This record gives sequence, C-alpha cells and structure tokens, in this order.
Amino acid sequence: MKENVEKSNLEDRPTQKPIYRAKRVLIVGCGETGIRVTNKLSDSGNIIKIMDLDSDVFAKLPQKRIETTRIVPITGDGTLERDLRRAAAQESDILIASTGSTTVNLMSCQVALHVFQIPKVICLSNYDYIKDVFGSLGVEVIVRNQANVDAMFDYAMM
Amino acid sequence: MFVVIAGAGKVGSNLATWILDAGYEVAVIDIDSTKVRTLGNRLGDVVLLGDTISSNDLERCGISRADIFIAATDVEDVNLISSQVVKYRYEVPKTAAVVFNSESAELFELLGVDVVLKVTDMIVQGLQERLSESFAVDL
Repeated sequence: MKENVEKSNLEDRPTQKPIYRAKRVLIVGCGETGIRVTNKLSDSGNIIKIMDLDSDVFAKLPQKRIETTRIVPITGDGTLERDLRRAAAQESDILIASTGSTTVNLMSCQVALHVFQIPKVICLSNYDYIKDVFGSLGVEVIVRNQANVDAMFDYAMM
Repeated sequence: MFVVIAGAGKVGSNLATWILDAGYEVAVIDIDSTKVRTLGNRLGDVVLLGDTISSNDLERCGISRADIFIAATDVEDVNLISSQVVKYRYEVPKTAAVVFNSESAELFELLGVDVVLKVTDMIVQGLQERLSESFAVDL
C-alpha cells in the first residue's frame, strides 16, 4: 500500500518538458542578458552556474533557486582557466558567454572549447562579422539585438 | 614591409617609432583618443583612432595588405581576438600578441597566434637574473 502511495506521488510530480534533458550550463557574465538566459534555462529545469567578476550583481538572480543550488553564482574571471575550473567547467555541457565585451566572450568560449572540451559554446557578439570568423572555429556566435536570449536558448537545447 | 600595431600605449608607440626609423611602413590603431593624439603628434597620420575588433576600423588602416600584425594593447582578450581576426579574416601572414597572464600564453599559441610575448614572465625572469646575487639561495 505504502509503495503505491509513493509511486503515485512520483507520477504526480510536475514533469519537465520531455523533449529536453536537464543540462549543466555555465554562463559567463551576469548582466541583463546573462540573467534573462539564466532564468529561462533554469525555468526548464537545467542546472546553472553563473560567473561574474562582480559578486554584487548576483543579487538580481532568483534567491530561492540559489538557496536550492539550482543556480550557483561564482565570482571569477571567465577568461581564466583557474577560475573556470573552480566552476567545474569540465563538467558543463554548455558554456554561454554573455558579457558586454565581445573579446571577453570569445576568449572565454575558446578556453571552454580547447581547455575544458565543453562540447557546445555560445558567444554573444556586438559585431556581425565575428560570426564568419569564429563560426568555423567551433564557436556559435549570436549577434546582439538578434532576439538573442531566445536564440541562445534554442541553440542550447538543440 | 607593412606592420599594423594595435595599441598606442608604451609598447605600441615605441615599437612604431622603431619600425618607422628602420624605414618600414606602419599603422597604429587605438581606441583611446588621448593616446592617439599624443602619438599622432609625433608620428603623424599613421596613428588612427579606432576599435581594434571592428572590421571597418581594421580595414581603414589597411589590414588586408599588412605583412605583420602586432597586438600590443593592455587588454589581453582584445590582443587574442584581434590577432585571430586578422589571421583568419584578413590572412595576415604573421601575428604577434602581448600576454600578461602566463597562464593564457599557451592558449594564444594553440589558437594560432604566431608570436606570443609573455611580458610578466620576461620581467620576473629578468629580475631573477639581475637580483640573484642579492639572494643567498637560488630562487
């Protein structure tokens, strides 16, 4: 009898969207875009680590999810191997670099690709042509103002 | 020979002066208008105000016919990315970049920068060599 109750409880649990498997996502840059993409990815059940140089910006993240470690803020420089290692970058499925600096984002993505072998890296860019250069080097480039949060989400979940 | 230098700071400006004195063509690009004005007063219109990552600004300094590109700004990620851009987009035959974090130097090399100048290492090594007499034990 008890077993049955437990079983039905399991079945009653709100199921996550079945087409997505929960992923471990490392986000570099806790600015407006970083926060929006964090919220969206967290809403669909993914585990988020978010890194920024300035720990004050983490106050804008949903505190409830930080308490339950669904979102883990880490203070550090996303272009440095040692700081990314602190965020367990080697265990991440995806890195999204969303700082305001295109060069920081590109460097962070390439450290992720080549040092940590993260299979999927997404870079926010302020320059259009960057897509042509770094697309062929394994970085998915999303140009700002191109409905970027939705685009990053779709690509991350692909 | 034509050399494009990113960064009109101490490294960039001394380098540009040296290359001009040696009789070669040079262009310097920097985003800081004060630095551009200071160096421009000395070297003339080979110093341009612009963004090292912007394709328009790079093209304005004639990047497509450059033989060597030297990234000598004080921002490491700018040095890396601009070197990659000129190498892969403009096919500049030789790229050099200044790096401050010795940890990042290996990455620069891996990502195709031909000459990586580890300035912090150079300073530390230089000091170790010259100050070694002052220490009783080898550092």
